[in-house]
Amino acid sequence: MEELLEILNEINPDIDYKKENNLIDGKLLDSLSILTLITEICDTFDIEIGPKWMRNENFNSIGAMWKMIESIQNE
Amino acid sequence: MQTFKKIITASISFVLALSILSAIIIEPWRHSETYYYQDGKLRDMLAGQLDYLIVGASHSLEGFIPDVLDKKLGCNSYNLSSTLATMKARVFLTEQELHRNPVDTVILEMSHDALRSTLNEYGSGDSTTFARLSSWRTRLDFLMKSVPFDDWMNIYSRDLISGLYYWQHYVQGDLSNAVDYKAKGYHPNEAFDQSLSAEKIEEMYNTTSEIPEFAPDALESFQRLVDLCKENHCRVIIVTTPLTDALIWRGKDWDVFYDWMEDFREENNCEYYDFNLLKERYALWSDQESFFDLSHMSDQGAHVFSETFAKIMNQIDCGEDISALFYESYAEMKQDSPYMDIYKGREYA
Amino acid sequence: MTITSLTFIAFIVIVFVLYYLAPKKLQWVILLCASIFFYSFCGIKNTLYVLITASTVYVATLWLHRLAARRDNELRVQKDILTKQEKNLKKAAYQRRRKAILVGTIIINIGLLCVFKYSHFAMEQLNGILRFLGSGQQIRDTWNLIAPLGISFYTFQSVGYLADVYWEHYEPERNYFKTLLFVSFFPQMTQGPISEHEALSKELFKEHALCYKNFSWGFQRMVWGFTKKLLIADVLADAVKNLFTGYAGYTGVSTMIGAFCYSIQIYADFSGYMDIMCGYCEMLGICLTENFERPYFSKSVEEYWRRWHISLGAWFKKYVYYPIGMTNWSRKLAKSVKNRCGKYLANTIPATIALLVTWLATGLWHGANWAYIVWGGVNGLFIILSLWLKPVYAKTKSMLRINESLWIWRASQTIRTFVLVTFIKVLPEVGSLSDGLGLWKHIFTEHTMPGSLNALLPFVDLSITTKQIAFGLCILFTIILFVVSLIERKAPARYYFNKLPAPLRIMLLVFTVFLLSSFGVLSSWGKEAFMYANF
Repeated sequence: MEELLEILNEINPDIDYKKENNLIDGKLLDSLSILTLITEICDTFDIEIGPKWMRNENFNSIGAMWKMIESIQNE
Repeated sequence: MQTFKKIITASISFVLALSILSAIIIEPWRHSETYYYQDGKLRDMLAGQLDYLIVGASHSLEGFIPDVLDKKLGCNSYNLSSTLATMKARVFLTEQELHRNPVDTVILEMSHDALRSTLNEYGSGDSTTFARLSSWRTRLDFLMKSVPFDDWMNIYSRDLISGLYYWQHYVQGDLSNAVDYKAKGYHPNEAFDQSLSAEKIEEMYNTTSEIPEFAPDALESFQRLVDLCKENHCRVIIVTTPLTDALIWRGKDWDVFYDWMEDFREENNCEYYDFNLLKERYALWSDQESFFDLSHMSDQGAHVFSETFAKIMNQIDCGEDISALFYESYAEMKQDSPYMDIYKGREYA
Repeated sequence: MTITSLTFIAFIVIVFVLYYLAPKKLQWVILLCASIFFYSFCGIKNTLYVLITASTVYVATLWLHRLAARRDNELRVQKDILTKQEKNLKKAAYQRRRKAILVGTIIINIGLLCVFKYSHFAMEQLNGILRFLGSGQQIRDTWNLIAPLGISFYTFQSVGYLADVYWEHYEPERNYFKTLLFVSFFPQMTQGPISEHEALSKELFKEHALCYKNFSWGFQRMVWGFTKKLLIADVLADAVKNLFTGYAGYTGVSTMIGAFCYSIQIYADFSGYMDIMCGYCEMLGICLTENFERPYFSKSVEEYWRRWHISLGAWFKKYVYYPIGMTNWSRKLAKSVKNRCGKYLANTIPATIALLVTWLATGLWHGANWAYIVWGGVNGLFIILSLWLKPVYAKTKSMLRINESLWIWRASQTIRTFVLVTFIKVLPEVGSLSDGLGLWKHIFTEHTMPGSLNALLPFVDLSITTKQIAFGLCILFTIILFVVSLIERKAPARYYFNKLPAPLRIMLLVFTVFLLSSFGVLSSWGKEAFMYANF
């Protein structure tokens, strides 16, 4: 989770990721940030985020992202 | 139930408010002397007396003077023409008058562009016809039979605009253009010089295509109009009223229209006279004095035309062969035009 | 059936009444019948193509789901028997089959779209290539195909649904007629919005009780939509037509003002349509996705495209941009760039490629000609440039100590963006690409200053009183539109409108309808088709 937080802070340090749960629906992360985020998550956690996981609810909060990463790792 | 009642109340309030506002705008105009074509009541008064009808659009509205025809032909005529009258509207008005008058002759004015699909010009034609109907029952009948549903809105719109213009003139205190309904449907125009300069004569000869594609539903309605008159045992006289020499000069396809009309005349066994082809035209009417614009006659021109028309009808009724009085084509007619002298001589003022 | 026609008004009134008279469970059936009727009214042939799309997508989505369910079942049952490699092989086999269904269905539907929309363009290019190669042969385009109404919109909406089911975002709709309604829902057939199945189906198939607030707010929105269309867009339409045909005779300043008029026209036209349809759907209790969010208040081209035609942008982002950006080769490219040039370029280069492809495709969606493709490319270029120059901007602003919260800074950004998007917008509207470039050149090279109001607005016809009044109303309502947009930064304008006393609200609505019925109808009733209905 710390690594994920580090990635997010590098992309946009002005957001409080521990509290925010509307990152995508609230348009806090733009499309370039999302692509960067996905690339970094895939590299850091050595996973493939397929289109199946590309849903707003999986990226709206750091908790949702972590849950998604764990699910992919367990697949 | 509460919601339903609220919605119904709101809807009725809205419709009522809109109706009241519309009435305030339209009704003063509709009941005023400046209300154009408010000849419904006049025609109601004359019902049972008319034996001669003129049906068409603005060319005949501003070309045929019923008083002149009444004097010269001994008839009791009425001009049922309206600006941009659609073919369906002509059928409607004609049917109304045929049913209540001992009509024996109907003049059907047929201009070169009367069968184009945009004749209604977004409802203006229908709104002028609508304006001439004297009761709401007739108006509803007209809407249901002769006006496409979408065009009902155009009639409402034009009535609103007319009403606003009336209020504007009322506020300005110059309600001065009262219509003379003694003219029995005729509308007089001023004269404006339509003649061409030498340069324009040179430039414009046979340059434009004036005959549009005929709309199937307009053709159908025109046929219906002719059939309607015949069913009522009326003499049908189809007439093309005079146009300016200037307009004829520039068009290159008038004979397309003339040939089509001749074919129609033969198929329907009726009379057709194109007064543009009258040999005397250059002496009788001129571009300088006889016209309001390129295709509508002035009051002076209408008087001359109506008298000429009556004279020719009398000659026909006396059994004279009047074919020699007319050119056989527009191509032939143009050769005798004063413009042709200038064009051929290439003389410039 | 034109939206600005009595026939359409009568149609929606009847549908509204039947909708609320019907049992709530069958309200969607009323909408389906209305949609089929609406589409057939515009031409029976059109209905055939909608049925093809709905049927192929229905069959394909069920098949995809069945294969996914079978795969998951087999993997669950054989969890302890299969090795990891065998599981991966099984998944890959199912993936291939599912992909084939996806690709085949997309080919059928996008193929239909391409045939109708792009065959003429394709033939022109082929003929161009043949001429270039010196061949005397030319392919004759005798098809004369007329694209079915709204094909660009419903095809994209259906393909999006298909992709979502392929990606297993949700289960497909099992009722064919509900799928047909999703594809053919008439308020969004001709100009969108392009909705996602998950969001739209929730709205379409839930039961809706008659609600006064929905009725009144929806009606108010519809009136506002008609106002934008008839009193602003259609009045400017003639002026804009004159501009695009006759700009060579106008000054550069007049031409630029004319271009601004075009910006106002297209916004009023397109958002007016949205207001009419969203307002009507609101009366039915259905919430459609918004397509505009005060786009001319954007501070950058990128922000503009997040606020203009939002549903199209969202579609291209979800189904073109992200899939391209997340492909293996894109990630490999990012990795190799990261090793050589650092993280910033590693993220920016793949995004640039994805953006370029997305924007060229967006241009092509808008029109089958080079002018639109270049238009799309220019939009993409500005977005890419802002991406690349982000660090430079940030440094410059910091050096110059620019306070971005100052209103003057925000206003200057907004004005700059409005001028820029207007400039880009007119490129494909004049005619061909060379005509559009000619207009750009004319704006910059024709320096004569207009000496009078007539010379400033030579493309506006003010020859008769009614046209003068209509133009005056157009200016008035454009100002009102601007004020409403300012108000809507905080809350919908209707929120404030509905605080007025009921009699005053009714009188304002009545007066607006009166203006629409008189000058609005006179200018344009049924004459000017909605601009985006051609897509």
